[in-house]
Amino acid sequence: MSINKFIIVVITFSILGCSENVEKKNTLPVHKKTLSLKIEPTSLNENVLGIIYLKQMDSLTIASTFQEEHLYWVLEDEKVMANFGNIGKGPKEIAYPIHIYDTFKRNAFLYDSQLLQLSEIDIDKSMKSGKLEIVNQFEFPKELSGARDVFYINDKTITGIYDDNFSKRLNEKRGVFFYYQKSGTYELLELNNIDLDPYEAMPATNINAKMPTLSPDRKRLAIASVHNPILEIVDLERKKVKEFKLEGKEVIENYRLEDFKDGEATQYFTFAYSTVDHIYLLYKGYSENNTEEKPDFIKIYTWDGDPVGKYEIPFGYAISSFYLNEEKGELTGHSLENGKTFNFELR
Amino acid sequence: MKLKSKKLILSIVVLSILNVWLLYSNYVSKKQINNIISIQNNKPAPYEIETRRWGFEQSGDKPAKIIHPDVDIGEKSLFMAAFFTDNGCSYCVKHEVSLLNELNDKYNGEFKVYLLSQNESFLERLYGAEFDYSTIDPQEKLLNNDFEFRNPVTLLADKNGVVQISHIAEKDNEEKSNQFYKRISSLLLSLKR
Repeated sequence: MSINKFIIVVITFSILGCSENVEKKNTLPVHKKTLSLKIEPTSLNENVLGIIYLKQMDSLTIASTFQEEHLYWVLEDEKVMANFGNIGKGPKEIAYPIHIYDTFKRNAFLYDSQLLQLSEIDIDKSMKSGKLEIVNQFEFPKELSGARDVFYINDKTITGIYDDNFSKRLNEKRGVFFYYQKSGTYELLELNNIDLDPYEAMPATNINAKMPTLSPDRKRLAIASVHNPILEIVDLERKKVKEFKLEGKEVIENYRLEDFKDGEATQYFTFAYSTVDHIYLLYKGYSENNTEEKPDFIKIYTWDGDPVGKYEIPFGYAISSFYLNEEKGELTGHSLENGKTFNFELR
Repeated sequence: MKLKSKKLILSIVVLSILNVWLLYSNYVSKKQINNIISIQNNKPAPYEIETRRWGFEQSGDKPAKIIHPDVDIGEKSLFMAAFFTDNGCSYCVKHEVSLLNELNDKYNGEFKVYLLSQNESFLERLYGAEFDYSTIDPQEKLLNNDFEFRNPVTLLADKNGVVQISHIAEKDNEEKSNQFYKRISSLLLSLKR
C-alpha cells in the first residue's frame, strides 16, 4: 500500500471514529390521507376491573391491574384464563402495582423502580400457582436510580430509559442505558432533551417524557417524545441513535418553566407500539390545557421513517395505550381516563 | 338602737361569709386555670413525644416490646438496633445509613442493624452501607402493637426487649437524626469506659 493510500485510509477511519452517536436530519413525512376506524367496545372491562395496561403474549392478553389481591389477569379471546400476583411483603409478592410491558418467550418482566430490580416471571407457572413465580432477578447499581422502561435484551444486556433529573448520579438528563449483567457495568447514550428555563427537577422530568417501544427482534428501540416532535430510533447493537423530526414542526430545545406549568406545551406522541415492520405512534398535537374537542391519531411509519398510514380516533375515547394484531388489522386500545377498552378495526 | 346594731352586725357577718366564699371560689378557679396552663407548658421528654406520636406504646402507658423472632436481643442490659424497610423515604434511608456508617467506625459491634425486606442487597447496593446487617422477614411483626413503620427506626431496649428509647427518621429533619446519633455516640462511649 502506498503512503498516500495509507493516509487516506487513516483519515477515513479517523472521520468515522469521530462521528457522533446521534444521526440527525431525518424527517417523518406527514401522512397525506387520514383513515377512519371501526370502533367496538370489548367485554374486557366486564371481566377485569382496574386495568392499567394490556400486553399481548402469543394468543394471550396480560392485563396489569390495580387489584391488590389479583394484580395480573390472563385472557384469551377476552375470556379470563387465570389471575396471579398480589401486593405484600412475601417472597412472591410485590410492594406496589407494577405493570407488565415487556415479555420474552413465555416470561414477563416486572421492574421495581424502588429496589432497582428487574424480575423475570414465568407466566405459565404463575397462572397455575396464582403467585408471582420469579425465575430470575437482576439488580442495578445505585447510579441507575432513575432507570425506567426497562427491557431485557438477552442474557448479557438489559436496556432502558433513565431519567437523572432527580437522582443526579449521572448527567441530569434523560437517555438510554445499557446494563451488562455479568460485569455489573453500564453505558449511557444521551437522547434529545429540552432545557427548561429556569430549571426545576419535576417539570424537567415531565417535559422530557419518552414513550419507548422495543422491536420484536429486540435489536431496536423506538423512542417517541411526548413534548417534542421527535422520534429517536436506537440501534441496540451499534448503540447509535437515528433521530427523525416530524415534517413541518420545529424541534424544541428550550422551554419556559412557567409556560410548561400552565400546560401550554404541545403533546405529540403519547404512546408507541411496534411490530416487525412498523412503528405505531399515538399522536395528539394539542396542549394539556386545550379545551376544544380534538381527535387523536395513530400514525404508522416504517422503521426507516416512511409513512404507512394514519387513523383518526374520535374525541372522547382518550386511548392511553394499545396493542395490535397486524395481520388481522385489529387494534385493542385501553383508556386509563375512562377505564374502558375498545377494539379498533384498521380499514 | 339595739335592734339596729344587731341588724348591722348580722349584715357584716353575712357579707364577711359571702366575701370568704367568693375568695375561696376565686382561689379554686385560679388553681384550675394554673393547672391547665402548667399542663400546657409542661412539655414531655423527647422520647415521650416520639412514643405518643408514633404509637410505640402497647396500650395506655405501657411501652412496646420487640417480638420479631429473628431479632436477637441478647443478654446485655442495653440492646440497640436500627431497623430499615425497603420502602421508606429514600432521603431518610440515605442519611441514616451515613450516620450509622460513622457510628460503625467507632463502635463496631455495639449495635445491630436489621433490614425488613426480601432484598438483601438494598442497603449496601443502593445506599452504601458499610456496617453488617441482617435481613429479616418483613411479614413478621417487629413490635407487639399495630404500628407499621416505613422510615428507618432505631430502638434502645432493655434485655427483655421492652423499648425504652425510640427514634424515627423524618423527611426534611436531618438535624433530629444528627442529634439522636450524637446522644447514642455519647451513650456508647460511656458504656465502653
